[in-house]
Amino acid sequence: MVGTATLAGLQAGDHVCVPFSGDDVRTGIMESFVRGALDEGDKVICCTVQDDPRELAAAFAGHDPRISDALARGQLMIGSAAESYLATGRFDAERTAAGWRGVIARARDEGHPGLRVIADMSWATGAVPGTDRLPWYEAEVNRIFAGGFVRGVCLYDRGTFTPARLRRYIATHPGTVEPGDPQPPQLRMRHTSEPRGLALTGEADIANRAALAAVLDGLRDDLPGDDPLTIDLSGLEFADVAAAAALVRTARRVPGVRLAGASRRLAGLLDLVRQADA
Amino acid sequence: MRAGAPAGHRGFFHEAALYHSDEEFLAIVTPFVEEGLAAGEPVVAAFGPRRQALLRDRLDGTDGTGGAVDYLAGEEHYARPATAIRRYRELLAEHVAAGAAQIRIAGEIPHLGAAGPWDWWGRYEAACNHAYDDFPLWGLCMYDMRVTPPDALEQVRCTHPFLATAAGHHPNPDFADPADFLRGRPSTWRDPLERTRPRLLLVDPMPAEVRAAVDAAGAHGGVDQADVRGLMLAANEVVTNAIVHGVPPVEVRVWTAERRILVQVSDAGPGPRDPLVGLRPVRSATGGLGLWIAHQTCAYVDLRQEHGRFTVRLVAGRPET
Repeated sequence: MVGTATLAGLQAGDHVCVPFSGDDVRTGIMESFVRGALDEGDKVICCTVQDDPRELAAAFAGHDPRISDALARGQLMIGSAAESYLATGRFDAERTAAGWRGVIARARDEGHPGLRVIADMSWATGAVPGTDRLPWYEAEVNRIFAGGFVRGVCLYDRGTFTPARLRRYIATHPGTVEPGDPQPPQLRMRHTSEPRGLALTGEADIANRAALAAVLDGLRDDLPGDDPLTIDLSGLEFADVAAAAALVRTARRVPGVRLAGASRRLAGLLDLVRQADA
Repeated sequence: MRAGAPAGHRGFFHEAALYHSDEEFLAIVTPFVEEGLAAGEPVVAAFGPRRQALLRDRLDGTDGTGGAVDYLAGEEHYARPATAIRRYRELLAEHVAAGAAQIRIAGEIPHLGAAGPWDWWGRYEAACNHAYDDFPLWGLCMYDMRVTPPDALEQVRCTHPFLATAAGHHPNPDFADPADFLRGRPSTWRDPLERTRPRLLLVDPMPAEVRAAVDAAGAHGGVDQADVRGLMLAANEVVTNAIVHGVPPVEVRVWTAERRILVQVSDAGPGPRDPLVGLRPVRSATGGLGLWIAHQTCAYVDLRQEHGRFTVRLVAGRPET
């Protein structure tokens, strides 16, 4: 069971949506995610909805002797959404997004090379007040993931969400991965220091449109200053027309931003978009 | 001040000439070119090699002014309607920026019965009434009555507000409002492949699945990889439109033949409202940009409402006429 649940293609900085069916699959993914983090010394946070945190911790500890120690040292945290970011009874998207900074700072202070977060999102069917802000939140946190320290897995139970709602949530993640799929996520977005800017790898289309838009819109705020910023497209294998238009608009609107490394085909598409939008 | 028949006309003066012989062709095009050059107007001629040689010989043989004509290779220029519109608009903008009071373009779509279906050129002739109307353009579209099929001729008659003959220039009583024409136009082209079972049918796919399907079809061979990639982008855009703006179920069918790939995408919605969609450039924020780009990356694009579904056909490789 654990074998089929490995998300082997993920790296630090990835933020993926995992639509799944079945309680066993959910707990299996969580468990393999936790063990993978412990293998590499990362801090790991499990945020549950359908599972009781104490029962889950006990089950994990039964399979892996490192679990109890990691819990005791605070390297592993298993808690429920209801007792953490939903404790007020509503989803406060802005507050939850802002809360990431403290969590990341603490993980760095504790000396962990990275932070991994896995969350059961099955509360988000619409009943909790503030749920309408979840797509904004899921897109916005990509700016945090682009920093390259955190990796995140959002578990969406197929049986819980209507297809339309699930599709809206999916578009806020750079990648959607099936349980057991060893592939990398469809799109990777990383802030870079040499040259300063953003590197895009993979494929940008409607399945990650909102994620890309949030990272592009936040680029100058996330990399403050008035120095030039380079958006490196050399790893971008496919961009749909909307992604190309978002790139062209960012380069036009944000002073100092330039696009670099586009393949010949992508450069042709960017030119067409520039003409149409002239 | 615009010289000739469009004097006092604003925007695009769109004229068709139906000729029956080489002599008649020259009797209409030669004065059009010579009077333009005499008035100091930029003159463009976009014909296939035979017509172009004919015109060159006549102009060089008379007063030697033919060298001032900007000759475009017709086959290449008129390969795809949206590309022709884009390139003409660039050219027109340059001439206007340089102070031209009028630009004259004489051209002939060298496709009749030769390469690809005529059908989207009927859309072109209607759409360009809008697409060029922000320029002081006098466009003379030449049609050889010896090779123009009747259904194409019917569309030519409806899409040109003016007609030229060797004797002069007249308003065309058959001209129809382009939007009305495009909405009411019976579109009859079918790829013969559609009579066979598709290689693949996808229902409500994500665009990535459709791209993979086109890629797999391209690996089948016979179609240039650059054209396969162009079809992949176009199919991606059309499926994305269907998901975002259409009504499910979205159905995608893929056929392959020796030298072409056909992708058909349909949804249960009414399709885009703008009948000129795809042929003229639009701002990305207003929608329609994907279809405009699809029109430039595919060998053929057909849009229509049929059996209560909006259906787009995209072809890479050599379209069947």
